[in-house]
Amino acid sequence: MIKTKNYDFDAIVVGSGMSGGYAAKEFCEKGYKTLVLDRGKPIEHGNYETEFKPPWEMEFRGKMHSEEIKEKYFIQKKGHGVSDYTKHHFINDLENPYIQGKPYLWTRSSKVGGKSVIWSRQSYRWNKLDFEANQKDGHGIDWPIRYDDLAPWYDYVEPFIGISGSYENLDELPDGQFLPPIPLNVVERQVKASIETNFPGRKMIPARVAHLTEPQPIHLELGRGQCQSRNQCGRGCSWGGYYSSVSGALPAAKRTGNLTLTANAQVQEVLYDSKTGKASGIRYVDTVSGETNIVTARVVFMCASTLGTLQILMNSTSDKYPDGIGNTSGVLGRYIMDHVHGAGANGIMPGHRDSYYKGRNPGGIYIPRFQNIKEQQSDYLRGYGYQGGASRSTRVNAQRANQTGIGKSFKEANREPGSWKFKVTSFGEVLPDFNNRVFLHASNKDQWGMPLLITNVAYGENEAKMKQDMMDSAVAMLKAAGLKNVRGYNKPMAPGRSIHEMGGACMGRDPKTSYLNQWNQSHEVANLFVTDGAAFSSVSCVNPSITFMALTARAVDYADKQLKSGII
Amino acid sequence: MGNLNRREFIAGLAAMLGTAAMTPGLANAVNIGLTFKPSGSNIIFSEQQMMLVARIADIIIPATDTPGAIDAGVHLYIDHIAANWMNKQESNRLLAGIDKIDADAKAKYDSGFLALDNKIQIAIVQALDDNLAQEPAYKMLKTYTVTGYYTSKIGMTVELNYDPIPGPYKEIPLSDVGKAWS
Repeated sequence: MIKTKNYDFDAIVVGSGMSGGYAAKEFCEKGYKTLVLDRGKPIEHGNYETEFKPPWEMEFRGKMHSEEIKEKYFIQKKGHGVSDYTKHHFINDLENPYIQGKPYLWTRSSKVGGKSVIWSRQSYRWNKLDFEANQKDGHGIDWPIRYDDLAPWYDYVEPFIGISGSYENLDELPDGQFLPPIPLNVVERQVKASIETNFPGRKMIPARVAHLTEPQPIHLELGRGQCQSRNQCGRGCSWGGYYSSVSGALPAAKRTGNLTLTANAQVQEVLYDSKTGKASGIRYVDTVSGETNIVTARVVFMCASTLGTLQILMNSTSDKYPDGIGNTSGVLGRYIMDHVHGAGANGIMPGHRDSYYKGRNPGGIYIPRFQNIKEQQSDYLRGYGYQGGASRSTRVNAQRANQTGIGKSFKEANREPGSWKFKVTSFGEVLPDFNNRVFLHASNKDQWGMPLLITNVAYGENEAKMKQDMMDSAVAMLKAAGLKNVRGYNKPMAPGRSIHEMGGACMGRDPKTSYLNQWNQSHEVANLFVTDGAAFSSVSCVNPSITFMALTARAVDYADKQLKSGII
Repeated sequence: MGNLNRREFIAGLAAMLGTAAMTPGLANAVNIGLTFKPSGSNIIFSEQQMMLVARIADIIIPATDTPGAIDAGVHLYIDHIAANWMNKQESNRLLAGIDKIDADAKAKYDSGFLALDNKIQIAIVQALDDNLAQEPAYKMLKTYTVTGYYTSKIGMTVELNYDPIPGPYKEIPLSDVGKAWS
């Protein structure tokens, strides 16, 4: 498609992570001149600064300095994956303030590629129940789509991402297009056998992860290769062994010649044209020069991460939309959700002393949801799944300072790997709640002039009951499997900590109660789409990233048809 | 390291430790240790404390068929961590703990720790280690000794098996590789 004369670009995509990268790829491959704006700093795939640094080349052997945490990473460090090796992939908290009306841990990426660079790569399809849950139990807005609407789009994105997994034929966890699974180890097989025998209806399977266990031409032609089991993914991976926007979608977009990618671009507003009733473009601040720029396009895709997208949409005000573009209903910013997290168990598996492995498994195991599937069984609604695995740490790492012994015998004892440890943690589905919301502060702004976001999100009673069961059921399964020293945990954890935040611009059928229609399209502003987590009307209990991508690809396909037929 | 230059430090360490305490690779070890260049200049240990830490670390992880703590520069690592990574309270606790080990030796044997017979030094450290939970200063020193050693190049690549690019994850018998991955 030739760039329309009246516009700078055919399409603008805000954000370059899971959703934005995929939107860019789809638009570029369909021939649209596409601008991607990302507030992060540039990142160069294949040139990750700490990727090959061993501990002894790190100033503090990989331990972060407490002063640095206090000064720059006081929020990020409470989340997942921040270390001395990865900290530069996370934002500086001091420079990027927000207001915690209620405690909320907002993890954000500092780089192009967004959280796709630092994600945990777990990739599961939603099931039929997930899309029906809101309607069934009355919490939240009914999704305007069902599993069957999305299934072909999972089929479409999975081969490109590259997901390793086993075929299980489970209703509660639909199979996808898989590469060979990462095999379970001897202890994982033993625990699996016990769970499936002692707890009928429960399954334990290899984690489904976006790692190339057997790269296909679609990966190799982008320069991606086999996962090397380094399990240091958050530093970046020059092999492209795990999927990130930077190793996958963005190079695919770039090779079409249709991509313009602008980093350091803090998008502040989607511009609204009252004459056409459409979005005309974007206003952004170059965070390096401080300059404000305006760019125009025929269609705008918001993929700036759930809260980032909401912040921009709420700041996009006009006479027609004083509370944010497309927000006549007032639902923008409502129903913010994040998975219930912070409960599980671990234990020691005796024996198997001559069993070991080569490589650090970047996946592990998954126990799909088994609660409240056919009927309501528990004192809470919906359910959760477990992730985890078995491994042997070095004894010095496993026991640290509590290990006694000195001299030759101490050294020699440390040559043997530690005992097999098996652990699980869980992610559970939160109930959508109208009162869980984010909004903008009336006057406080960041250094570039963006109004600060206020979070007012909390877990409720259903989540507390579910969390207790997450721990109790884990303890029961681990004990039954013969694990020793089984220790359950149920830690208080603020929302945001799961880094699976969703909602706020929910899809729905009714423009009075939802922000987007069944195509991730604004009910009111036809050329404005939201395809990141903000679009979600509920959160399932599985990790969301591949669903972001499937919905994004589906929405671009729809936008393409609308653009071609001149509707938008 | 105060006013000591490198040669004086090595000479001083050798003299203090005495030939009996010289582990096979000591001279080389000290050299390796001294090639470690901490980024900050405010190195916190006195010479006395540095040598004490080196000796205790070497008792905890001696050179055997593989190099030990001094070879891996563990004493320099701890000095660097104490000076540049710990907060004031932690480093003061560590320094006081090191001095106390010396003071306790003086009280009991009428001689500083470093001048004691090798066997007595080991017995002192063994006693502290047997009582690990009740010896917070020693426990701290041991923690950093162990961390320093097993995150050093020697600890990771010579003592244990270093495998930075393993390739596809697979099960193997431990006997195939003999010892733990670092």
